[in-house]
Amino acid sequence: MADPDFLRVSRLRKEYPGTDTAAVADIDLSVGEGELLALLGPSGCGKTTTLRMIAGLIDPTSGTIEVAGRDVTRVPVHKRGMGMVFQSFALFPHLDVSANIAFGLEMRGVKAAERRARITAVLERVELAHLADRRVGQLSGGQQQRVALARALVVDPSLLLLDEPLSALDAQLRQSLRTQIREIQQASGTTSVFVTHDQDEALSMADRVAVMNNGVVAQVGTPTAIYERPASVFVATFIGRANLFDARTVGAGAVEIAGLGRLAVAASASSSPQKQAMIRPQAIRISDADGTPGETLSTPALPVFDGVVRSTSYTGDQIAYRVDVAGTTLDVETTAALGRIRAQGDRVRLSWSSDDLRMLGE
Amino acid sequence: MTAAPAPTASRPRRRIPAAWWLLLPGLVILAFAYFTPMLWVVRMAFNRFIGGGGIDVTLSLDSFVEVFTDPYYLRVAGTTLALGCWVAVLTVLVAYPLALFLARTTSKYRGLITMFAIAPMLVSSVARTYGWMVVLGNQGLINTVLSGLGLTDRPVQLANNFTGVVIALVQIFLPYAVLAMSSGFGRLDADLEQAAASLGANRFTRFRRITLPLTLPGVLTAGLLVFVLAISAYVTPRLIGGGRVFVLAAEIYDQATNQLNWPLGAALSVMLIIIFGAAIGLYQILQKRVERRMSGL
Repeated sequence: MADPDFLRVSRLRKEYPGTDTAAVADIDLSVGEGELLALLGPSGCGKTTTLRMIAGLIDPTSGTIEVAGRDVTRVPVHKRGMGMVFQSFALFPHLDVSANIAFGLEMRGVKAAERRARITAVLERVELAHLADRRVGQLSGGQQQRVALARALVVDPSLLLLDEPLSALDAQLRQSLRTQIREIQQASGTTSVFVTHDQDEALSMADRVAVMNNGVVAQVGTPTAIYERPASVFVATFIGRANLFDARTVGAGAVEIAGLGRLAVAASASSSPQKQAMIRPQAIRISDADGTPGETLSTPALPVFDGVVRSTSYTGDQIAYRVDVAGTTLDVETTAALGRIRAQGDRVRLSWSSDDLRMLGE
Repeated sequence: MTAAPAPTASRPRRRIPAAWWLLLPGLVILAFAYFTPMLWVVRMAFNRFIGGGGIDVTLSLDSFVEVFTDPYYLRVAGTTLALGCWVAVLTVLVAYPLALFLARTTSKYRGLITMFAIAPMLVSSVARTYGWMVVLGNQGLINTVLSGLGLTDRPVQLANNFTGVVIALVQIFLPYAVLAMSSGFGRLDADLEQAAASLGANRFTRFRRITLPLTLPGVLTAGLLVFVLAISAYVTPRLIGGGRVFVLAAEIYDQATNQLNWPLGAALSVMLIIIFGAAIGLYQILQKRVERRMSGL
């Protein structure tokens, strides 16, 4: 039975001397055994500080870190038994690939014969067996990244920590390494925490995502939950694109939006004051307008609006429109395969299902 | 695709790259102010001294024979070599923690601390030598304190001997060593030590397996620099040595200006150049070995 609280971070806080605000402000996190949690947020949100506190590289001001029920908050970094992959990869430049990977095994007193066997096995897993004797400086960025991953994994760490492991690589390589890291992580079943500022990376790789902002966790959830049911304006706009409206609550499950009238809405999980409604561009369906322009066909439960295409941007698989509707402009995105491409000035009809329009906390 | 215009099929003309023209002023100055006098010194060593400042222009090995067989000159060479080694090793040991700290600190006062570390260079080494005479002498600061505390009944001999010269030279060359080292510490990245820590290496292992190997090139450079400076030091051995520490530089000066025996002075200079050459050769062998380990081959 997998432990749902394999890593448990409680009221973790870090204040740096000479600053007014805490870099990390009393955050709580749990990561289940074998799970991959992404810490996602803009730079300066405290995600790297959090990761480094878990690793033991930064001392927390207060709070506790437990791994498998054991409090490791005051355990020095070299006794935590975690594996870490650095943004810079931090491969030892004076050692070759095998010697880099052997380092952690030597520290654990693993015998030479077993060491060789484990190095061979892990190099095969990251598909670098042919480069074992290569100098680190002779490797490409992607290869260095995989050596860093192998070096962290070969010691069977209790926890694998990845600090922006892909941000030093170019876009195409990032894509393929994402899948590879995810597969290796799942195959080894290593509980992992992954820091990134890239929402695509977080959504595509993680079992759960913790969105951080200003030193606090804004929302934790599965990628679908975070994307489809963001709790706050920050999460909605940080992850993906969103149409936001000022909305006034006019009874249970209904809001009044200027220009669009009274609409049914799904409530947010957030307890903070809710003044804005949001709909994702992909949730809006676009079709040909057959009604008279300007006539509102909408009912609160089945919103339908006629509008005019203001601009079209075609990116191969996706088409993004900006559509003017009753004084507001909506972003609409559709898959290019569906229907024809509409041009600027075309009259279109927009509709959505009422539970895609959501209220957001501040 | 547009093809670049094909080079005209004329005979390839040998062209001197622009870089050589840029080197020219430096080369001219070196030839004029360094190579020529050097050759002249070597030539002088083959002349014969005929007393009273007279020099017989000839080709003789007399001066070399004297320098390389007379026990006195061999002892002077030995003292010089020992001084160079002691000062180089001690200066490196003292400078290393300082240079490491400067390379690693993230303090906003880093610039200021660096300035303090190299500020002694602003004071002439003659002035600093006199300062050390005040501190190390029999009635100096250290001995006054020691006897005042009743720790010693006789003054500890720190000046007018080899020890005093070593102490003073270590302090005088410290800034050079710090500068030479910290410029060689570029490969040291805090992430590397943290990575080693996360893999289970304690403080000592991290230093031995990561920090030291990566800083060794800088250490070697600093060691060579200080060694070369120490074996050619003149003022400090003269003043703090108190007439008891004989080094090649002082001996050369003495032969050239007091005895007017230029051929012997020149032969002693050649001896010093040989020590230089040997030190640089050793440095390059070590550096190559370290580089090879460094690149993981």
